[in-house]
Parts: sequence; structure tokens; C-alpha cells
Amino acid sequence: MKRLWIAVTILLAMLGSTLANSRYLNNTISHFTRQLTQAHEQAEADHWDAASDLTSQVTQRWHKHDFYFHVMLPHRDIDEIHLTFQEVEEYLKLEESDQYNAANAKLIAQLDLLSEMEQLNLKNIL
Amino acid sequence: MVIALTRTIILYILIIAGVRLMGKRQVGELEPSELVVSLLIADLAAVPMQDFGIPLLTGIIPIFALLSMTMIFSVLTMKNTRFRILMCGKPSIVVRDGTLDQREMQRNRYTVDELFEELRMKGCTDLTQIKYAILETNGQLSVLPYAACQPPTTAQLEIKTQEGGLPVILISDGRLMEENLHVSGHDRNWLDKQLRKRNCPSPADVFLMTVDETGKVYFSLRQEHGNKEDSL
Repeated sequence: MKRLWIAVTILLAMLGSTLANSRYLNNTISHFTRQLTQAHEQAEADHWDAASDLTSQVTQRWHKHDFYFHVMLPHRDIDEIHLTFQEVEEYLKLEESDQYNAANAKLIAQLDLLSEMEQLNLKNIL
Repeated sequence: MVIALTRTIILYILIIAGVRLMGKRQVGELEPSELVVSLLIADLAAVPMQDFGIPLLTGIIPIFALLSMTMIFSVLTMKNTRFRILMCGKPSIVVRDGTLDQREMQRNRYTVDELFEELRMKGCTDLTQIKYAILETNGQLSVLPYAACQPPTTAQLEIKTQEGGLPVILISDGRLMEENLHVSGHDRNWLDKQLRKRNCPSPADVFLMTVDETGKVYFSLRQEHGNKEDSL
């Protein structure tokens, strides 16, 4: 019976930690997308410096979580988001409104998909 | 990660159900849950091994989930008869009192050719000499001949025999197993005496030496020292 409880504990621990991971990822990504949306609003109002600051903050936090993302998520997706971050930052520097909007929207969508991929729902299981 | 874990659990249960439904023939020598684990674990380990873009945890979590599920199922199988029958099925008697049980054979999709193949491998060619032939849950066929068709034992013939012993390896490929020497109830002096008797200078020159409970020694020198084998 000891082995049964050890196995059940391991299974429940894995379930608990993977659910906690999904929640943490969702919260982190939501924070990123909120700030990127605020940056977009600042850019729309021609406040490019504010938009740039907000985007920099997100980029720095993204890099701080680099190890965690690489351990938990497919590397291809992480690398694509990294490239999109670069794109967004360049368009911010150039103050190119149209290009920035498109790149920022793409970045937000990629981040949302990344978070959604890890959520426990029927769509993902099937 | 939670998706990988959930999918693993679902697929594991599905595959076990599938293997159980396929019947005993496909199982071979393993129980259904063992077969599933061996099928899946290799594939799971291969995926992150080959694709470096996939996190290692994508392989580790499903493997641990599989091992935990297997442990849970095997303990439940041990503790609960109904669960055991659900997981492993029940043995089927395909030959009873020298007669084929055709219904059991049909139920297991077990053909006459397969039955005779198994009987031949067990050295039985005459169905009338078989009291029971049982198709076990692991797909193996157990054959129980009539008592009159079995070879007699020394007890039945009232012949006195000496019990054989279980050989313990003392020297293996030149290495002396000190613990086995003590377990067998001997010491280094005894060993040296045995080696001197066989003109062997040291244990390093011995390929294999065993002793059993009756004191019978098997001795084999390393081949570069000549092909000397004896048992005293």
C-alpha cells in the first residue's frame, strides 16, 4: 500500500504543479499583454517615449523569465516571440505607427496563444 | 505541461482498454499494463531526445505519469480481484479432459493451428493425454497432462536420492567474491587449499569457481591458462 500512496502522491503532485504552472504562466502573460496594450494606447496618442518605456519593461521581464520559458515551453514559440519583441522595439524607435501597431498586435496574439496552449481545456486535450 | 500529463493519462487508459479488448493472443508474455508501458515509454523518451526544441519536461512528466499509473494499477490489481479481472482477464480452459472447448477457443479467437503449435512446443502431440490446457492471461498456454501420462518422480518410484545444492559463485572471471565465500560457510584458508589441490596459484587465474551446500566444487581455469575444468 505504501507504493500505491507514493504513486498517487507523485501523480497528484504533478497535477498540482502543472496546474499551478498554467496559472502562473497565464498571470505572467496577462501582465505582459496588459502593458503592451497600454503601450499601444500611448503610441496612438503619439506618446512614443511612454510607449517605449512600457515595452522595455515588458521586454526586460520577458528576458528575466527566459530560463523558465525555455524549460516549460516549446523553444520555437519562445524564439518567435523574442524576434517579435525586437521588431516592436525597432518600430518604436522609428516611431512608425502602422508597422508598430501590426507588430505589437502580432506580439500580443503570440503571447496569448502561448498562454492558451498551456491551459487545461477540452480544445487543448483533444 | 498539464496538457501533456492529462493526455498521457487518457491515452494510457485508452491503450490498456484497447489491448484488453484485443484479447490474450496479442498480449504475448506481458500483462496488458506492462505491454502498454513498454510500448509508450520508449516513444516518450525518444521525442525530446531527438527534438532539442522540445522541453525535456515534455518527456519526463509523461514518463513519470505512466510509471505512477502503472504502480497504482498494479497495486489495485493485487488488492482487488474484480479490478484484476478487469485489467488482466481470466484464464480460459481450452482443453478439458482431453476434449477441445470450442466455445472458449472462439471467445479468445484462438485457432486450432495456434493451439497445436503451442502444444508441440510443450512436447505434447496427443490431445487425449491432456487433462487441461489453459490459455493464461499473459497469452501463454499451460498444459497439464493426465497423471498417468506424466513421468514418474523418484518419490513415486520410492528411490532415495540426494538433494542437490544451490551453487554459490566464489570466483567470477578472476574476482573473488568475499561475501559469497562467507555465506557459503568457508574461509580463505579453505579456498587456498582448493586452489592448491588444482595447482592454481591465485584466484586471478580462475574463470569460475562455485560451491554448493553439499560441498561440491565446480572449477574452471581461465582459458589463457589452459582448459582445465573439474568438479569435485
